[in-house]
Amino acid sequence: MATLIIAVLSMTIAAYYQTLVPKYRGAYQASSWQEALHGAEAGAENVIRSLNSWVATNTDPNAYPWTANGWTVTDATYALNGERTLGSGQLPSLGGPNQIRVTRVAVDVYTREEIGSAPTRNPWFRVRSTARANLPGKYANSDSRDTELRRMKLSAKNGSAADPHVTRTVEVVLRPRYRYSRAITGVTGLALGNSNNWEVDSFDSSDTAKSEPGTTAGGVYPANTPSEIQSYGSIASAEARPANSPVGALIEGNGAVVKGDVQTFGGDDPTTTAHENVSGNQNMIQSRIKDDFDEDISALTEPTWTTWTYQGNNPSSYLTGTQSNPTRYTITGNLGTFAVTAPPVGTTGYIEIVVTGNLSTGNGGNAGITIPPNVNATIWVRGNVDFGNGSINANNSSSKVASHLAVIGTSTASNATYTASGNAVQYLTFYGPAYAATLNGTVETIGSFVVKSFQINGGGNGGFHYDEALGRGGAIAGWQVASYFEDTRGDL
Amino acid sequence: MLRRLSSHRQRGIVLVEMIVATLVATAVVGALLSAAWSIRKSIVATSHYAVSTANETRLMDYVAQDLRRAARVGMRTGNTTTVMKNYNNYVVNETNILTISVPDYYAANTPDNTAGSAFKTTRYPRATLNTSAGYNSSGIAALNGTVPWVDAVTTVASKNVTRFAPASAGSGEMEIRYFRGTATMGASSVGFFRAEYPAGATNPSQTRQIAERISDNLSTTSLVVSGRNDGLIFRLQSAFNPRYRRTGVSSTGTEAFVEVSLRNPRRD
Repeated sequence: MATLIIAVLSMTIAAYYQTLVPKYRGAYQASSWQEALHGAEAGAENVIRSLNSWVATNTDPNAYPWTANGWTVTDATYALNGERTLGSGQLPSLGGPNQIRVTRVAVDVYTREEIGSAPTRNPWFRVRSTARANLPGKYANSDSRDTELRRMKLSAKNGSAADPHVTRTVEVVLRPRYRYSRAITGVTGLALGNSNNWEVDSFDSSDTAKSEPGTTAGGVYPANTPSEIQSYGSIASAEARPANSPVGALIEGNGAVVKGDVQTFGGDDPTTTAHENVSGNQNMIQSRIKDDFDEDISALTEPTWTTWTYQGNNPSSYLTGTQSNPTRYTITGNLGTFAVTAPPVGTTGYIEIVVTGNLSTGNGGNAGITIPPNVNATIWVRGNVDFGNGSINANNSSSKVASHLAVIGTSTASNATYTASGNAVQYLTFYGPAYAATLNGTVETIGSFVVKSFQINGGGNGGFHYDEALGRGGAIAGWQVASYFEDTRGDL
Repeated sequence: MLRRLSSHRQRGIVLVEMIVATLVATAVVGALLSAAWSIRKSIVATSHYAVSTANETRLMDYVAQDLRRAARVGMRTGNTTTVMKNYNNYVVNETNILTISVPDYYAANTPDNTAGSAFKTTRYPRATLNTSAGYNSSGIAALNGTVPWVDAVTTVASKNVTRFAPASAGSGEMEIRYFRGTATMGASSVGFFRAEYPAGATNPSQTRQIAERISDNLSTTSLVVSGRNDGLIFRLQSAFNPRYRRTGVSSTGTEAFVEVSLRNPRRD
């Protein structure tokens, strides 16, 4: 009898191992397969982090310090666009029981931008990242479909030792994210105009079908041709909700019309159809309200010059130079209303100005800044910016194109401000992550803002009109994913 | 006296004793057989549980892998496909087909095992990009070894995005369809299928049964898809009925969920 019982139990155990163990083996293999993907994506993320860290110190993406950071060009003949790989000692290792680690990361230039008559030829990088995770053993499971999906290397060896593992490879194409890629970007909250007529929208100064005739610099906002107005006037806030209250408003819409994406950094409850992250959003495009904003917004510093065209507090004129040798003015103290002298017709002039005090044009009919259509001006301001009700790059002698006037606020003070009021009209880009921007009245803004906070008091018939041409060039603020693909070939 | 008693014991067993012994033995053997039968049923049910768990894991892993790299997601009934963004509980079956468009990344998708075939080779391998001086019409050396801009990029919603294939190759997307059906070759059971349709093709370049034996009189493995956040996040859900009871049991305990974030901007 005892023999019979032992025989039955033995058969049961044998059947268990023969039938069930191979089936359950698949669960462990699936886990390793998932972990390998985490590793591959971590390899790509590591490249994005490096590129974004180089942006702050290198305005030229062709001069990034690859070699100094452990990268080796595969073929030195093609160092500009060819493939480069990260040294094995610097490949990310995620560890864990399955020893997840990146085994190869390669970057090359996928394409170069050919936009407009003077293309930047900035690169789009292609990142290929492969990672591996150990498998629990060398045996296949009971269903060949799992093997086909997961492409496991069950019989792999490391020297003479068995090394069963699984690899996954992702390919990510990265494109430059330009400094002015949307209408308004806030480090903290945004409070939009509380008038139904105040709206954020877009046009394209480089496209005659999306703008009205303007100056030789480009078209102007098509206020009289609504059909040409576009819907890419996007806004975003990088402010985070408190940890104990993750759902709630980060942008106060106040009923303003926003023709574009509205993004916050969290704040939305994904289980509801409402957009808790944006209050007063009834006049926004509901399907374009998202909470996936995730960009670093870094402060900029003024350039360090060794020579100047002028240094003082009251130059007699503002002349221009060439793109490679612009004129350089350092204004010691405050700067008020001024006009740049146009260079000869048929040429393009460049001017750079550092203001050590405030940039404050005051109020009145003549208040403002004149930037002729064939001039590109950049102004760094250490203090506050106050344009009163002035005409900023907006009078009849000006370009009326935002890319021709860049104002950069370099203050890091907690109370730095940017203000405009009344019926001011301003064509410009403003970058000041420490500046609280406040517009009072019916201010009309054409361009793009990157600020600490943004608030409209009133609004009236004013508005904020993003020039889409700004998003296709200029200074690079970072790198973002243009496309993602998992390469499922088995031999990787 | 002692001798007499001893001789009495050697007479053999009486009928009653034999009956009792037989009954006991029968009971023991019966119990053993019953236990063996129960164990066998348990092994069969556990085997089904393991197979079904593997099926639902593989099923969701396939769909999740395609969703991560998707450019479009749709629901197809008959010949009509509608965009799927915010949608609750789309049950994939014989008539409800889940469509996922992914980059047409490879130079060829039709299986071809001949040496040097383009099947499953990347469209733009670094080794074949033209690095010779002035290969492009503008003769600008900075562009050597790169994919020409016109073939690399297109504009969607006013933004430059990657073109998945040269401009001459159409949309540059491949549509993948997930549906339930019966295999006509090999296994004859009901299963879930994954079919790849290259750009513009009406017939799939390949169809694979990715989960078989998913439906019988006791158990059915399901695949349910829900879209959230305007179609940027998808929730996959699969479940089956275990066979631990003859009458079947609830599938609640076997439900598995996966949430997937799309990595590519949607183009629909």
